[in-house]
Amino acid sequence: MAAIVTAEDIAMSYGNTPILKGVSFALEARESLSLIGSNGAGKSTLIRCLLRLEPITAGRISLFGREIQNLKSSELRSTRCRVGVVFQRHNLVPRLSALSNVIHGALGRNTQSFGSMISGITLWSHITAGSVHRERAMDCLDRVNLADLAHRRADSLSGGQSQRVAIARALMQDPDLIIADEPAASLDPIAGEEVMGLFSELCREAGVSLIFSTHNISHAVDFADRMMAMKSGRISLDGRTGSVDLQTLKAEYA
Amino acid sequence: MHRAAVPPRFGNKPIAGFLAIILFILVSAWCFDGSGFSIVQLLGSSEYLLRFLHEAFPPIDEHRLTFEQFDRYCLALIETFQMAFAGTLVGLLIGFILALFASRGLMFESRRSNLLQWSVKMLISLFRTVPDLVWAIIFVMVVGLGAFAGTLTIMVDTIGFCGRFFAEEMEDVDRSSAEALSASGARRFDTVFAAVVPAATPGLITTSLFAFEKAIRSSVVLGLVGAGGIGLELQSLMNWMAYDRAMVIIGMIFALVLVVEQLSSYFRKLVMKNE
Repeated sequence: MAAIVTAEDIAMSYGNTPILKGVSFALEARESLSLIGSNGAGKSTLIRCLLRLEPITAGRISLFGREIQNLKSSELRSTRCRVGVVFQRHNLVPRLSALSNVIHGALGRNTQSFGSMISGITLWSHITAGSVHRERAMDCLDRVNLADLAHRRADSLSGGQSQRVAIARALMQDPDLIIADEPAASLDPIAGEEVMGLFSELCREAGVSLIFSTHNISHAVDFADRMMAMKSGRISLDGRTGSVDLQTLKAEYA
Repeated sequence: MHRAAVPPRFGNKPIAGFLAIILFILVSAWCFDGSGFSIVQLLGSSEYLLRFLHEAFPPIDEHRLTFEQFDRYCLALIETFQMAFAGTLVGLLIGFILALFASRGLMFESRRSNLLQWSVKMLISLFRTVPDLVWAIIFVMVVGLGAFAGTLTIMVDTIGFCGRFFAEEMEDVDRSSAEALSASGARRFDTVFAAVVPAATPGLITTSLFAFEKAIRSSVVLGLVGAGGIGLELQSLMNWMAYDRAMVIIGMIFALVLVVEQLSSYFRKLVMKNE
């Protein structure tokens, strides 16, 4: 199987503070990977670098075989639109409905030609979106069991519901890879469990690869095939979740 | 256990604070002196104020105010409202477009765009800092006497006001939801309108209502330089020393401003309630 994400010896620093110091790994299609590590270990930075939300200072990152450092902005967009992203918080546009927020997932697919630029404008809100997109967005909301809250404003939803809307938006992209930065961190344990379960189930169903970071060791083990632990900007452990010893992990990283 | 000492009463730079107060008092004294502010003079001139009030009341007297005149004042008042509304509307639109480009890191994010952002900001400042009466005089010169000159003045004034505050409101929006869209491949243009503008909407509406209130108030005085509306009537009556009818107009202006302000504050509350 071909690797869909490759990081080769990447380094990144904020000013003079090195955050990532030579990180290398590869992720294969349909693989799910969890990232653990204490605050400041570099998990979020790694995730942001993978999406080119932060520039790396050395090394190479490829997504789907394209080296993202040198992509023009239109090429970057067409690469990014294959990656669904879920952040810890502030994922959604607060004043828009859940449905509008999900429809936004299709924005990335609509940037390649002049005609699609025009249709991109209709995707700003569910009011103007075409019925194909509205139907598809409802399907995505249905897959996260939120179809009946489609009209509700995003800022009136609970943390778990917001995160599920964010997942629905990622599904709307019809992605090949989903990257989630501590998706359960701001949720209570039950909602967190639910959201993570939904993630791994949907990814398995749709054959989507998954990278997520977490502080919850059991999530890291239960919802991924493979896990990586980070410590001060380096990968300190990389292995199948079945083969790592939970007790040692908890002692070291929790 | 040794407890930390109580912090000093006047911070850690008491002398600087003291000097600042002295400086403030000196500057105030200097300004009152220069502005010729004088209670004595104000009280001494009460005779003129009383004369004005005496001649102004009763403002409505069938021998002095005809129906034709009152009709004309009403039309002028309506014209004032129309000028303010139309000018504000066009100004809001242009101000919004300029604000998109004046807002830091909104539409573009590169070194070259800083120059563009700076130039747009300067343009907006120019519109805002030149007083409306000056704009009115210029537009009267360009398009002639009448309501259109006033409308253009209001437009320019609104661009200056809204351009600045719209830009600040959009700068204040939490950009993380826009970033989430951008991370999924959306164009910058789309992230602005799908994420930033919706989040800024209550602020944009509130600012627009304030702009309209401001426009109503300033459209009243624009007539003084010939730019249409009820100010023109007011000025000619004052020149003719027809203080009674001038009082009628002042009352009408008061009513209009009051109604518009009440309505605007009602709509503002409505917007805020939905937050």
